[in-house]
Amino acid sequence: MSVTGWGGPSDALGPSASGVCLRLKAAGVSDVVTVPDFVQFSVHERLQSGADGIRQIFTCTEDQAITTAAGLYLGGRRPILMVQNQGLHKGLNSLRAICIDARIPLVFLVGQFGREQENMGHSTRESRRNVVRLTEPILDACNVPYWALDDDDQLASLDHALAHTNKAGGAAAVLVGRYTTWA
Amino acid sequence: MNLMEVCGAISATRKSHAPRSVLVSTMSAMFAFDELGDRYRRIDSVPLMGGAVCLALGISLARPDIPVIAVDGDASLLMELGGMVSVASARPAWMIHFVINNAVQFNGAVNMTRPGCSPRCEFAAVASAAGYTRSLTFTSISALQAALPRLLTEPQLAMVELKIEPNAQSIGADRTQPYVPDDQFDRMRNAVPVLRTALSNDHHQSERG
Repeated sequence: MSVTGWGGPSDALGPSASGVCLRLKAAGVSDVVTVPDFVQFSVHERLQSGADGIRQIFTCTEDQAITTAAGLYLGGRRPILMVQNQGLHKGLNSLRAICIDARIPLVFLVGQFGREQENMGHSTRESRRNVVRLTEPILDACNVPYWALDDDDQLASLDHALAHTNKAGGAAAVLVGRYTTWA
Repeated sequence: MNLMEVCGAISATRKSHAPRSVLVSTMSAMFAFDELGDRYRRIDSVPLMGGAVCLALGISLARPDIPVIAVDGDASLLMELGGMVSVASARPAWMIHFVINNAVQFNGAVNMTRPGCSPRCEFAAVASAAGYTRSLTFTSISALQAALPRLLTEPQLAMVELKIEPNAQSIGADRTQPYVPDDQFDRMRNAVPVLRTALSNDHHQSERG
């Protein structure tokens, strides 16, 4: 089955892969540890090309991604995580141990997988899909701050999240609400 | 062989042959290293069962020049068994992944049966199948002691399964359960700046030549 067979092509343009990767590079990010995300395909592809000199490390689960990133931080690197909303939900115990208990600074780029066309332009808290709707309340419950990244006008969200974790330690999230583009 | 013997052998060989190594421990091995007084360049995955292997992976990817030693628990590793695939795929240059196989959960507390005893899960075989370049199994302390110096001084990715006897059960109807102390929840946070600074100082020393 083709992707378009699932429900028609998305007409909502999200942030560009070049915009995201260049912003991360400028901020000194060294590694992106990931379980691949449906929302951020173009960012994965650009990272894989090596164009920006940021290493992409794949793990089997989000728990492993979080602990791998923590180890990279201990060794002096500057990693971030790239996961999906359901991956964030799955990795909550590791997030609690690594970011909340141990205060290791990690930014999570979280794709809002499953966000429906009717929800574009509205709060994801109004999504009819639990996996989308529950992401912000889950982050609130964990006292993890988050910023939206729906298009290139919001690329500064990456800087805000990185600055927050540098200053306060712990986790911060950037919620990618639309498919990233190949630009 | 028992837990204190194997952790004692790893600790002694670290001191004598690999003083720059990093130790990532978890579960009952963590308490054994406490008892041995080995807190040097160490971090514990606690309370986080299953976290040790990829914590070690990340450190090793950041610092391929030094040995990173993970001392995992069998029940812990089972929680993130796919972590061995993540490790093998990332190809860390110098990571020795020990797994303490005592075949129980809550070792020394109540010694509950864990999954993978019958039929038996062979961790070294799983590691080989996952892509580790070397897998070893030890059942005798003398054989382990003889192998450790080379294991900790030659860059490699290895799984070392240590089949040991569990500690004696200490909790039951005649002995109540203790509260979990604060240290169990604080020790990872406390270790982070210490280990990060130690690893950073390595770099500064090598830059000064």
